[in-house]
Amino acid sequence: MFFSTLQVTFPQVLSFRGQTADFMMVFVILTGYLFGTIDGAVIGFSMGFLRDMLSSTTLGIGMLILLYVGIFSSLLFSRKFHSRATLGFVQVILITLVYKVMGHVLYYFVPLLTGGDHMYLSTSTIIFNSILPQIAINLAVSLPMILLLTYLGPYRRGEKRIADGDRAASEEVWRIR
Amino acid sequence: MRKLLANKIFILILVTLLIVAVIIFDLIPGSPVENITTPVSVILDPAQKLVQGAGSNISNFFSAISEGIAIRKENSDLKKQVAELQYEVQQGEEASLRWQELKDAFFIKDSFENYDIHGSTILTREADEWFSVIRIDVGKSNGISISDTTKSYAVVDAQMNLVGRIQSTDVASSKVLPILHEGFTVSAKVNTVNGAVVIVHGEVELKENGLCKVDQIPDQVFLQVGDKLVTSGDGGLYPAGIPIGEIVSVDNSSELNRYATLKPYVNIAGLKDVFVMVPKDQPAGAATLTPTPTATPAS
Repeated sequence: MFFSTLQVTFPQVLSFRGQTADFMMVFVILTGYLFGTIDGAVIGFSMGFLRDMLSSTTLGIGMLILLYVGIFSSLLFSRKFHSRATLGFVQVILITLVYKVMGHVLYYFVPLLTGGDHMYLSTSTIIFNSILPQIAINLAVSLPMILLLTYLGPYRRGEKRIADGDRAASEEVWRIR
Repeated sequence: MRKLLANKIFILILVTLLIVAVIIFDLIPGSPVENITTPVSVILDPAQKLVQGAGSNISNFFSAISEGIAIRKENSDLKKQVAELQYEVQQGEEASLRWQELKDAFFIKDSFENYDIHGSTILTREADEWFSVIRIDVGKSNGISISDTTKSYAVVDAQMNLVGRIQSTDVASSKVLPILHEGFTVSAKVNTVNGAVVIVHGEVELKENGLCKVDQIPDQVFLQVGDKLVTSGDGGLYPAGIPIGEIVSVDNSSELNRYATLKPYVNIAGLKDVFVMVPKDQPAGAATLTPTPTATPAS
């Protein structure tokens, strides 16, 4: 609740080249990555609800996006790399990249499908004024957040990693046989 | 059934379908889904105001330290100005009395006199470039609610410049679709006698630079850089005559797709308070404008 409030109350304070630090998404990514699928999904769903409530035109879009972000981040890297905190940064980069690219693709194609003339950002603007600044600012806020979740999070440090064996077994159900 | 409920993929599909249902229902105007946010809003709004207040206090504290010397100098200058202004106020009061007499004599109506103006504070701003709706602290409890009959309300700043429109409301807060948002559209007219009616709307490409697109320009009409646009009142959603902004560029290169770009007067990033225009019992859009208020860029 604190992160969501911070993001939408003072967006101009933590922004870089017009992009606001996405506390909510970074929090969901790191929760999913560090604490597993269930935690990631629940936090993703809750953060998505807050995101929709605070700044979306339609209730549900943010919930859907962040729910899948939470689940996806819990599955990526976590088994082979045992949720090493440093790889959380790679998660943030990858998921922010996917989120931004998909967002731009949707915003480009949906109006085309619905008809009417349509202007859109140039590729260089998308890369240098949207995607890269967003990745940079998200990376910047992910450092304190990783420390916060690792040392002041809901689980004692290492507790989740000890349970990795159990978690791997439990994640078997996600596999399509 | 128990096996199904233990399957995470099944639960995920179920949750996804549930969210999709929420999205679909939320798109229906006046849908009860809007009320889902009310309980959270009741808890979150005071917490959010607390964070906002704390942030403002911290910012004010540092400003006070850094600006202390400048304030002292400014204070002495202001004292001189106060003396001059007091004289002007006296003259203004006299002029006001005369205006009231003339108004009564000639039945002149004030701008937007058929509207109640509700002041409100901005609670939250955009989360990112796609989640960019503003939330304000007035809602159904203040008599502002969206229904089949009342589709929306105009939102203006302290200078009466158009900020956006109310998109949805819950008990204590409302969402405002800002003028730069790609989902925002308003019918506008050039602020001259019989000025051309055009459409102003948000555009992703222009939003970053704080601009809007102006299109559906009638044939034989050629907009000029510097033309001032106000709401036309067509459609009944916005009262006529609210200042929108000024044309900053015109593109007539394609006969079929002539457009212009507009710089809104409102500076959304600098806004703290906004005003919601709620029609009185008279039908919306019935405001008589004599004369059209002067468009003033927000400071």
